[in-house]
Amino acid sequence: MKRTRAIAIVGLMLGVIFITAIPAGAEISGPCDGTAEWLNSSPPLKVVASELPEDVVIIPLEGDVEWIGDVFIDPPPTEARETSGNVKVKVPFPVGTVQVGVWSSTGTSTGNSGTYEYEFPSLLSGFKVTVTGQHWEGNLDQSGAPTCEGEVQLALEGTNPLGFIGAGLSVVSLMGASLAVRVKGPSAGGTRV
Amino acid sequence: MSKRRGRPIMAAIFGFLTGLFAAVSLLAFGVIPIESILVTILPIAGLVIAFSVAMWAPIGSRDMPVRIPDGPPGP
Repeated sequence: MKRTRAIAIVGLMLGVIFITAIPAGAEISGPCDGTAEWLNSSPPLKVVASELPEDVVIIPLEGDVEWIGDVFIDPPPTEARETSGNVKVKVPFPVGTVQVGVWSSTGTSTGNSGTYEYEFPSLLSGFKVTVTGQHWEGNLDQSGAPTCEGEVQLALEGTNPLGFIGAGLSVVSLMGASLAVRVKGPSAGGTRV
Repeated sequence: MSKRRGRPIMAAIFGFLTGLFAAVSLLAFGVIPIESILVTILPIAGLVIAFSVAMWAPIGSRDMPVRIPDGPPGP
């Protein structure tokens, strides 16, 4: 009976891990598109927002990214209008999200481009991060429902030794826990029979 | 008669560490994304489960040795 309970608890925990580990998949909604092309990347890496893969996109730990963003408005605006938006990275509870980019402007432009340079420490290789983007037409304060929004899951390339170290320390801690949950033995002064 | 149990505080510490290292391992292998709620849940769940099991103490209770006082010293 006790063994059945223990198996049920372990099964439940593994089930939670596998269910939450299923990739969320990339998605974009609204009349927007964008591309990101890694310069000097081998093999060449280019990500198009409207053609995002279902699985994660593996990116280098460091690089220069040439990016282009467009919003499709028909007919194109002839008078200045307000636009705003942001790019965020999801982080664990209770923080939730960290904003890594923001824009807010007034004009007739329907696109923007540039080059972004980034560098992650090798300690983060293998980690998966979810990046979200939102764009608003008609306001500067990112209020109301966004005109476009998208989400993509990125994985930093490489194998992280921290995974093996964590697994080893986890087993050692589990052994410590299994000893600690046992009923205490008799104290000194008696005789075991 | 005192209730037989394990070492709840030590078990809680080891349970927390087990969950923490398991979460780090899952993150580093890319099994779960960095924003996964498991990063928060696993250490807390490890702590709570290990503490509870230590209080309940199902392991080692059956073959609990009986303690008898030592006899008087011989001549």
